[in-house]
Amino acid sequence: MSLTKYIIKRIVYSIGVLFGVSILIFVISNIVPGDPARMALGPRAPEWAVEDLRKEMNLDKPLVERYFLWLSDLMRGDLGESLRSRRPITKDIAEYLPASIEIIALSAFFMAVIGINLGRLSARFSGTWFDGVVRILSYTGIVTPAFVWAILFVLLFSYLIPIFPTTGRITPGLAAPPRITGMYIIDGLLTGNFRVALNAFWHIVLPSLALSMGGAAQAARMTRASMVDNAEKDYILAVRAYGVPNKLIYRRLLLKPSLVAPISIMALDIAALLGNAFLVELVFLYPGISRYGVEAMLNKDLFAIISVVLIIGIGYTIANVVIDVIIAHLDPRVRLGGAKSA
Amino acid sequence: MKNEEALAVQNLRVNYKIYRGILKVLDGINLTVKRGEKIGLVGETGCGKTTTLKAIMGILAGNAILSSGRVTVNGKVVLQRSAHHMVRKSAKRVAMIFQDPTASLNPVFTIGEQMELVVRYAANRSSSAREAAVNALRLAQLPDAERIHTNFPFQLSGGMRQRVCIAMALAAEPNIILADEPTTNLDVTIQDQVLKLLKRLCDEQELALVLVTHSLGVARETCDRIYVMYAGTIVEYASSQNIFENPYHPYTRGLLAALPRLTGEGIAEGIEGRIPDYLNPPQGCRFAPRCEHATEKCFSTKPGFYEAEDGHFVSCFLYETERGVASDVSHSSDTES
Repeated sequence: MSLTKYIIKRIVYSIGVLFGVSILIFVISNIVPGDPARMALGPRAPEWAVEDLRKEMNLDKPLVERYFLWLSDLMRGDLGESLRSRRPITKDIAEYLPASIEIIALSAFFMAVIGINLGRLSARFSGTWFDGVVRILSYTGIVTPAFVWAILFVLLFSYLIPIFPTTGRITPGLAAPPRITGMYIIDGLLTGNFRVALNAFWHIVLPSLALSMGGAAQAARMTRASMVDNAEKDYILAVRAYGVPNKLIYRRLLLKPSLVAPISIMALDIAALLGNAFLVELVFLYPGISRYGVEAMLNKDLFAIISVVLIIGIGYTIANVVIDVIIAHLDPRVRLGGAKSA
Repeated sequence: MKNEEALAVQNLRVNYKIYRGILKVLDGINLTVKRGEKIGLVGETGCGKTTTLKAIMGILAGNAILSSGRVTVNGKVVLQRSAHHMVRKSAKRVAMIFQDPTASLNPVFTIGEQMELVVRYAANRSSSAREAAVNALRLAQLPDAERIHTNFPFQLSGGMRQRVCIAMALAAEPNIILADEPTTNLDVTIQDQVLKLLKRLCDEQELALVLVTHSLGVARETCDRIYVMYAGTIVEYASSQNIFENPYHPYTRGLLAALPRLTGEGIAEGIEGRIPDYLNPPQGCRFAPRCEHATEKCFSTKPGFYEAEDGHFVSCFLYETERGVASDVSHSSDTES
């Protein structure tokens, strides 16, 4: 009961946070210099046309009024029109966001599996050559930008050893599955197009792996550090003295209390991918939300910028709620609110 | 049966390797505990009491070096210095109670989960682990054992946590319990209850107890015999009564004089000086630099044990003439390898 209550509480808080975020985004993107209407129409458009567009976009009204106009549109599910594609932004997002979610979900999976397991093993074999190798790998992972990994992986696994495709979401010539969620893998599975689902999955392996490297490296370091720290605690010494096998200690008894820090960091890393995946999406010519966002910014496509930033904000909020739930699950002190029953 | 040795520690020397050099902490510890006997290990903070217990349990830190010695539990060698490295086996039938009950319980598992592991691996019982755990909780006088079994450590008070630790020790079905200052972190009123419980359980189940404490009073109340430790060495051992009535070693005398009294005679005197630096411990008697009776010999030679009275041994040259070197202490026999 208390866990559900806890989650609901977190979600209610999050809505409040998002409301604040929306004000901040709106104000900042509106006071950034440059005239969106002029940018949209180009330097040679006549002044009256620019003036008309400004009116159409409500740019002639005061900021506060504009915010509320935008907010009421938002409530109706209308994010405005992109000045560049001349399409409703909701349509653009419906196209790009699912593609991004697929990549981010897979790289979250990679991050957790690679990061936690490497950390766990190097804690268990700390001081050995294995620990040293993982240490070097982790530092490399942390300091190397994701797009460098992306290029490296393409060179290694697409050209040198051609296992994975280089670009796109799906092999050209293969029809995209009927649209249900917009995520090719899920849609493929739902409609029984397993070949398409597998093909789409094959396309996101390399980009996801490239994106996950930094977070995985960091998670490995943190998992190792907190496990090595906790290994000296009396409760671990005690079970060790009682003959509980090392395997069980490192997989469960020591791992569980050591996961809070790495998981908190990982969730934020994952949320950051929504916005930071730009260069990786570029390397793989992958139509994700991050590329869309960067292009919108370069063109001062006002409402598109606001929408993308808002989505990133929502992403962070969701990540935070998820972290809180996972941590509550791991740590009874959070879950049960420290209430004493005795 | 009663006179068999449950635990024997012979000439135990443990060093710790640290950045600045080698800390020579334990300098030849000898102690024996018979079945069902309760002994106290008394000394100042930092004198190596906990290191001794950890060596017995086989849970010395990674930077610890066993330079000589042997630990025998129920007749089996569990720790020994062999030709090049230490051989360490996990000691069955030995349980340990730690100083801080909060740190000795895993915060993210229920009491039941943790106890069942102990039942399974220490007592080698895979069936009815749950009943055994609940039973042990009842033995430790915890009310509502069934509920506590499902609780997490943070849901219990400090005193209850220490009882849980005692229950966990019992769940290992030991015949020796090592207790490392089990009451230091508890309220004064609860300290007494926990000690009494521990003592009663040991009496009822004929468990041997090694009680580490810095409080002479606690040791006297609980233990049959007391070993007084100073800076990694045993300086004196005898029955609890004898230690109090006739302390021989200058350190023991100082320790007893340092006890605050309730009669209001003012603050008791302490012993001048501090525990020596383990990086560079005194060559001879480790207490010599603080001892008012120290002679040149004390600084250059380690004293052996001299039997001052029946069963009362002192490691001090002041008593050299009394009755000669004690028979059960032999400083060379363990270093053969």
